[in-house]
Amino acid sequence: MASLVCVGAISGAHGVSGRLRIKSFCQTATDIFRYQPFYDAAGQREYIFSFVGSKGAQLIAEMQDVATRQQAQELKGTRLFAARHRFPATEPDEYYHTDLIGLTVVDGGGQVLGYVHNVVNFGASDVLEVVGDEKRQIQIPFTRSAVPIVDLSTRRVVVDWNEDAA
Amino acid sequence: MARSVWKGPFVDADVLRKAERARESGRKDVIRIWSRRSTILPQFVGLTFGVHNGRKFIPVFVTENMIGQKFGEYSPTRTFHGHAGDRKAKRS
Repeated sequence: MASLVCVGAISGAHGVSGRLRIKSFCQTATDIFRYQPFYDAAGQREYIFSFVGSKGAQLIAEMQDVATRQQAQELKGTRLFAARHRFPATEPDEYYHTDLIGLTVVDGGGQVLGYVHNVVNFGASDVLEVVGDEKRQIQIPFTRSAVPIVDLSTRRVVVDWNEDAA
Repeated sequence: MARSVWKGPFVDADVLRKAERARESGRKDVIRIWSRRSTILPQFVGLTFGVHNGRKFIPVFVTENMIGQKFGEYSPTRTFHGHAGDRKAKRS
């Protein structure tokens, strides 16, 4: 099974006819349905939905063989995983968070600083949260000057960042 | 109520001093500041500030469309870590 990425979760039942409420973790909520079929965490069970509509932040969908509210309730909490290869190609200098998370971070001299724990954006630019020795966190802006090399093939990020300078 | 225009934008003196020093030296190191209340001025564009959120310094790379806003707006004090999903990061 190809690598799987969690793109959503079933948050409960909607109505009495077996419809499901789906919480999307995608940048554009409805994009989740472009990545079908979904799998469970182990990649064993397959889920295919048909989109019905949305209610607030939740998406409403129907699934084959789920016709009652009780059947829908039983699926509550199921996390939906999509195959990574179904994601569209990115533009140059654009990376999926899921590809960046886990990469080893090294400085110009080849010294390992830690690994990418998370990618966040608070409105300015994207920031790599790097966790190093003794769970020490370093925040590095995801800019060409601070992160000159991103090598997904060797799963390595080279940074030019002096955290202690102020 | 909005701040009166005649007063001009508010910026803490040490932020101005640190930014000026960084610009003169030409170094691209992060400028650590605690002043979340300071307004982002045009002369800060291109600099990276580490804005304290009470616990750590969040790097804020200043761009043109951030002028007039406060540093604190880009360094939240409460963080929510969601799922990566299909989110993308663009290297600026």
